[in-house]
Amino acid sequence: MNEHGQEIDMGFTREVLPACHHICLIYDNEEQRRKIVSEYLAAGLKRGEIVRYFADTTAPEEIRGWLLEMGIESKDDDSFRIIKAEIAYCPSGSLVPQQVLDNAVARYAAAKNVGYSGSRACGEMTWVLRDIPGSERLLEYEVGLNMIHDEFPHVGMCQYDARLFDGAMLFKVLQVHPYMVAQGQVVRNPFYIQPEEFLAKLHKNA
Amino acid sequence: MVEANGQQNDQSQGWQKADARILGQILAAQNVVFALPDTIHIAEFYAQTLLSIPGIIGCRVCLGNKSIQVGEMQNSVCGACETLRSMDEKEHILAPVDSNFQCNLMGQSDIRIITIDSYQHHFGFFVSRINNTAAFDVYHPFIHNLSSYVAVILENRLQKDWLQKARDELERKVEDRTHDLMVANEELDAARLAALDSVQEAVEARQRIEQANTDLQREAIERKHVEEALRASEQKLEEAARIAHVGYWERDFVAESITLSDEACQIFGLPLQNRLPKLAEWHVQWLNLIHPEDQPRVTQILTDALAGGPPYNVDYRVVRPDGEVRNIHSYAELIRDELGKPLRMFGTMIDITERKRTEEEIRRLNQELEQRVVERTFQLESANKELEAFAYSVSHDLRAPLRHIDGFIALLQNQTASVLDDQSQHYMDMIAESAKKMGFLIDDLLSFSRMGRNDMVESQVDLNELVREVVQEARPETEGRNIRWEIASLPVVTGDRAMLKVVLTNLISNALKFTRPRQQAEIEIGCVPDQKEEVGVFVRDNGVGFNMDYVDKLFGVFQRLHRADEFEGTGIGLANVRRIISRHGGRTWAESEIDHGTTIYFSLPKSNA
Repeated sequence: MNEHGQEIDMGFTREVLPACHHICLIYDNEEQRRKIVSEYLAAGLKRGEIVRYFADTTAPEEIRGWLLEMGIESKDDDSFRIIKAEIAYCPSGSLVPQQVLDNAVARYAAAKNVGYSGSRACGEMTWVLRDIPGSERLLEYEVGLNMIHDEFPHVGMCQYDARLFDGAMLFKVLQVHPYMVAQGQVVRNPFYIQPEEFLAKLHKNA
Repeated sequence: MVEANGQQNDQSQGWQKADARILGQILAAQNVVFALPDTIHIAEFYAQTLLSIPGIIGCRVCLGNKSIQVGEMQNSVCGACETLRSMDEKEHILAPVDSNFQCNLMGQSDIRIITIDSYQHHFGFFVSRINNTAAFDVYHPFIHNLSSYVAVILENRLQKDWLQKARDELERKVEDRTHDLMVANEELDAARLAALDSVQEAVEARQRIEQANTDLQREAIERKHVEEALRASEQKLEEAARIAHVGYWERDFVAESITLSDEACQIFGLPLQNRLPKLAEWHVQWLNLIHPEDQPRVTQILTDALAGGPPYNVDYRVVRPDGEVRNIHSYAELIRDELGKPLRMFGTMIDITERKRTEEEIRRLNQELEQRVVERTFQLESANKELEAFAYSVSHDLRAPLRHIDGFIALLQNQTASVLDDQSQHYMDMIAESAKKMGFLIDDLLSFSRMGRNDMVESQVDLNELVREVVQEARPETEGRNIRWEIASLPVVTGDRAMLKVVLTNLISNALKFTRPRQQAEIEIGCVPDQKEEVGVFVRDNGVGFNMDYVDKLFGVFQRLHRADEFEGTGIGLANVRRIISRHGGRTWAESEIDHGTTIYFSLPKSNA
C-alpha cells in the first residue's frame, strides 16, 4: 500500500514521481502508446497495487497479451480488471464526475483494507468523442481527481489520441493534468492550472 | 559589438522578466504539437498557447488555408489573404518563402505579426493582438522561436508527405512497371516456352533423325555383315555341297525359272549352264533325264508334293546324256502364298550311285552269308544228330558188354575168393569198381544224350511245388544235418516238368553236397528281381565255392572242379542243367568265391514263364 508522500515507479521511465499523480498521455502512434501503457500497468502489478484499466477501443485480450509478452500473466481477479471505459466513467449512462470520483475513492479504500499497496488506473478517453451524456463534464472530472489527494493517493493515466482530439481540447486537457508524457518522457506539465483557478475559469466561461 | 552586448543584456533582462511557467508552456507546446497530426489541430493548440502569454488578448493562427482565431480579435478580411488562397493543403502547393505575402492586419498598432516560414516555404502567420506591448515584447523572441519550430515541423511533414507521395508515385510506377514487366515476362515466358517447345521439338526431331541415321547406319553395317556372312555361308555351303557332292535346285513358279547349282548339273551329267532355261523347258529336259522305269513314280511324287501331299523326297535314277545311269536322292521344300499357291520349291540332290552299289553289295554279301549260315547250321545240326546218335548208340551198345564184365567179375570174385591172394583180390575189386564206375558214366552219358534227344512235353510248371518235391526227396541226404532253408515264392513257368525237376534236383543236390563241411548249411532258393524278358531263378549256398577262373568249365560234360575223394559225382549234373535250360530257350550262369559259397542261376524266357 502506498502511503501518501511516497514516490512511485512509473514503469516506462526512470523518473520517480510522487505517490499521487495524474498523468495525461497524448499519443499519435500505437507502438509508443503500447510501450508506455503496458509498462505502466506492469509496474503497478509488480508493486502489488490494485490495477484497473478502462478500455474503449482496445480489446481486453490485447491488453493481457501486452502484459504476457512482458512475462506477466494477468489474472482476471480483483487485483487487475479490465473494464469497459463507458461503464467505468458512466456507470449510470452518463458522466457524473462526483459519482466516478466516489467510486474511485471507495475502490481505493477497499484495496487498502485487503492489503494492496496502492491503486493505479489507466483509461482510454476516446469514449468522450461519442457525445455520451455528461461527457462535456470531462474536465470537471479530471480536475476533481486532482482535488482528492489526501483521502485518495491515486495514480492515474489518461490516454488522449492526438489524431482524434482537436488541439483546443488537448490544450484544455493539458491544463487539468499535473504531469504529461511528451515524446515518451514524463514531464511536469507547464500548462497545468491549479484546480480552483481552472474551475473558476471554467465556470466563468460557462 | 557594444550593440550586440547591449542586445544581449536586453534579452537577458527580458528573460529575467519572463514567467518560467509561460516559457515552459512554450517549450512543452513544441512537444505537444509534434504529436498533433493536422494543421488545424496545431493552429488550435497554438492559438490557445499564444492566448495564455501575457500581453496577448487575442490571436489568430493562420496555417495555410486554416485559420484559427481566439480571444479578442477583430474580424479581419482573412478571406482576402493571399496566404490562405495560395495554399492548397491537399496538393501541398505552398508559397515560396520569398513570396512576400502580407497579412491584411499588418500595420495596425495593436497587432503583432510573426511569419511562419521555413527555409523553403511560407506557411502562415502568428497574429497577436496585444494590450501590453512591454509584456508581449518579453515573450516575442520565444514566440518567434515557436513559429520557427512550427515551420520546421510543417516543413518536415511537407517533405515527408512529398516524399511519401513521391514514394507512393514511385511505388505505383514500380507496380505499373512491375505489372507491365510481368505481362511482358508472361508474354516472354510464353514465347520462351513456345520457343523452348519448338527447340525441344526440333531437338527431339533432330535426335530422332540422328537416332534413325544411327539405326540406319547400324542396320546397314549389320546388313553388310549379314550379307557378308550370307555370302560366306553360301560359299561355305557351295564348298560343302561341292565336297559332299550335294547339288541344289530351285524352281520359281512365279518367275517360271529354274536354278541349278554346278554340282546339280554335274550330277545330271549336264554342262555347266550360264543361261538356264525356262522352267517348262527344264521340266521336259528333266523328265527325259529320269530313268523311264522311275519316271511315273517321280512325277507322281512331285505332283503330290505340289498338291499339298507328302514332301518331295525321292530316290530315282537318271540316265545321263552319255548313257551312264546314276542313282540320285532328292529332297525339296515348298513355299506357298497365303492362298496355298506354290511360289518356289527349293531342293537338294545327291548322287547316291556309289551308296546304292555298296548297299547292293552288302545285301548280296548278307544273302550269301545267311545262306552259308543256314548251310553250316544244317551241317552242324546233322553232325550233332549223328554225334548224338553215335553217343547214344555207343553208350547203349557199351552198356551190354559192361554188364557182362560186371556180372562175370562178380562171379569170378565169388569163385576165386578163397584161392586168390590179397593182391589178386585187390585187382579184382579194382576191376569191379572200374566197371561200376564206367557203368555210371555210361548211364550219365545216356541220360545226357536223352536230354538232348527226348521230345519236350511242355506244361505249366509250378516251381514252388517242384522245389518242395525235390527238397522232400532229398531228406535222406539232409537227415542229421543243420540246414537253414530260405525258399522264396517262385513263378509258374511253361516247360517240361520232368526236365525242370532234373534241373532243380541237380542244383539242390549240389548245394547240399558242397555245404557238407559247414556246421550250418544255408541254402537259399529265389528269383532274380527285375528281369524283363526272362524269369531268373537261383540256388545259393554257403558251401566251399570254386575258383571263378574255371567257371567256363563248370557246365561242361564230366567237368569237375573238386577232387573226387572230396565230393562224389561224375560231373554230368550241371551239363544236364545247361542242356535242359538251353532246350527251353534259357541260359545258365554261376557266381562263386572259394569258401564263400556258390550261386547257380538259370533263366527261362517269359514266354515260357
